[in-house]
Amino acid sequence: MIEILKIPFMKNALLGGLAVAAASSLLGSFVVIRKMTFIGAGIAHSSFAGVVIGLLLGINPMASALAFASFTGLSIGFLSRNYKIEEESAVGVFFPFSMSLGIILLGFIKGYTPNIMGYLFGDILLVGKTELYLSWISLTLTLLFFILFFREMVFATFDEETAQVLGINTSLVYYLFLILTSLVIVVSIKVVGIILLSGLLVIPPLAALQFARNMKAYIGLSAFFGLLSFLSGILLSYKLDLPSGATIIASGFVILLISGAIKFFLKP
Amino acid sequence: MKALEVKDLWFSYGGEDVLKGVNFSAEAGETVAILGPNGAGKTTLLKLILGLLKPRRGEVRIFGLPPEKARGYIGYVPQNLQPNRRMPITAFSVVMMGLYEGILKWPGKPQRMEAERVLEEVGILSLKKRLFGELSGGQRQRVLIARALVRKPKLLILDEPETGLDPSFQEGFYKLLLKIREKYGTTIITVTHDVMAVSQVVSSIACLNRTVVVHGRPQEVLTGENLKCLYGEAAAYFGHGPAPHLIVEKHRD
Repeated sequence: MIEILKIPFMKNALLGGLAVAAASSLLGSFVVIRKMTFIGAGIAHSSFAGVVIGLLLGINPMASALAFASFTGLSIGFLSRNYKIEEESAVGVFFPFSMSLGIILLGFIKGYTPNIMGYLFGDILLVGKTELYLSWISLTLTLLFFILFFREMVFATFDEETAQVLGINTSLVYYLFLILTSLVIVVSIKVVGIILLSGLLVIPPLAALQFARNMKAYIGLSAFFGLLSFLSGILLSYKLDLPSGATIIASGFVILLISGAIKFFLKP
Repeated sequence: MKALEVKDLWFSYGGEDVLKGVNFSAEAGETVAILGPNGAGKTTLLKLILGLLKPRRGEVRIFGLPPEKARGYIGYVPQNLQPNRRMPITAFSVVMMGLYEGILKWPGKPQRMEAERVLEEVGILSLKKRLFGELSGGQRQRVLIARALVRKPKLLILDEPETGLDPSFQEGFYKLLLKIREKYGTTIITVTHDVMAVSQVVSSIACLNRTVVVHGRPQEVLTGENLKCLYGEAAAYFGHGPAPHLIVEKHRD
């Protein structure tokens, strides 16, 4: 562990990765319980078009990806809340559309596009200073969101109508949640990649659900499993020279399997 | 002052009038059942009373105030609530939701004790640490009633509370309503399908079919004429001992 920290780019990767692993598993705990798993995948994939637009225009791909992902996330949310379109169907439209747009625009980029695979499958070597700062900013914003709106999120998730009767602005909380999720997704792209990203949102909370008996324990365990997946994944990938993003998600999967097995054998 | 006043209330969805000039009121301490066929606008009326929808015309007053300003007076039990069963939330935490006061206003020990007292009152204190998703329909309904009661509401609004209740608990449920009314003087408005059971509990019945067809004491309201008007089919009604019954005439094809 210590020797890894001595390698400059690994320090960025480790510190940045820890922040996004914590942020995405915290937000993921509500993604899972609100049955929005497909939205996470949809936002992640829609950011592909954003990345390509950024590369095409010569601006920072992260900025254009964030704009595109937030727009997609908010559009899916708006359509499903106001026009009774199922969230799943809205994602089913935006997900392939953004991917096709990205693939079409990719053809217009002149010359070699070496970074595309890194964006799709994650490349920890791509985590630079900017990504490091962005990841800690997104974790800070996530923690702030939980401090301010944890009870409101729990209440709106459990029973939105009664939450409104008690004066909670459930739409505001929902849209803030979508914007924050889009931000964390975009910042996580370089760690695990667009294709594997929903794993970081969904797998740690599912492992936490095996044990949690209340919401605070659930989000706490979720963050713990997120950090554990990241750390074990990154160490394994370093030791065995495996692709980092894939190893992180695979570690998460093993943690989920072990959690499920423990739950199964401990069941009264 | 009246606990609830609904004056000339109109509401439409996509150009179609769902409610047309609804008028009715409830005195403090009264228990009113809102009865009507599917599509009569019962749930829409409740949402207007709760301030979740805005009327096209007319107004709602709760103890003289518009619904948004009367939130502190209202306890609400929604219809057949189906949250994610995997959500790790205990019965106790659900009841604590009722004591929500605003962002960053966390509840303290007195609130937690109050939640326990109400759980005991509805007879499920022993289930307080159980997950909501693990409870039976009747137990869940009691938790939701406790969540509404913990607010010490002056107006308790229930939307088809008997949905999902096992028949063995239904009688107990209506007894619980009576107990609440006697103990706290709460005004209760309940939307229901269960004509037979409520007629023994409520002080008045409002029959709704886009507008209030009739509002009065159960024995005055539950006539064959009114039920025909409400249900549109050959429904007839007759009294049999203390419990009224509703029967549907044999269809002639």
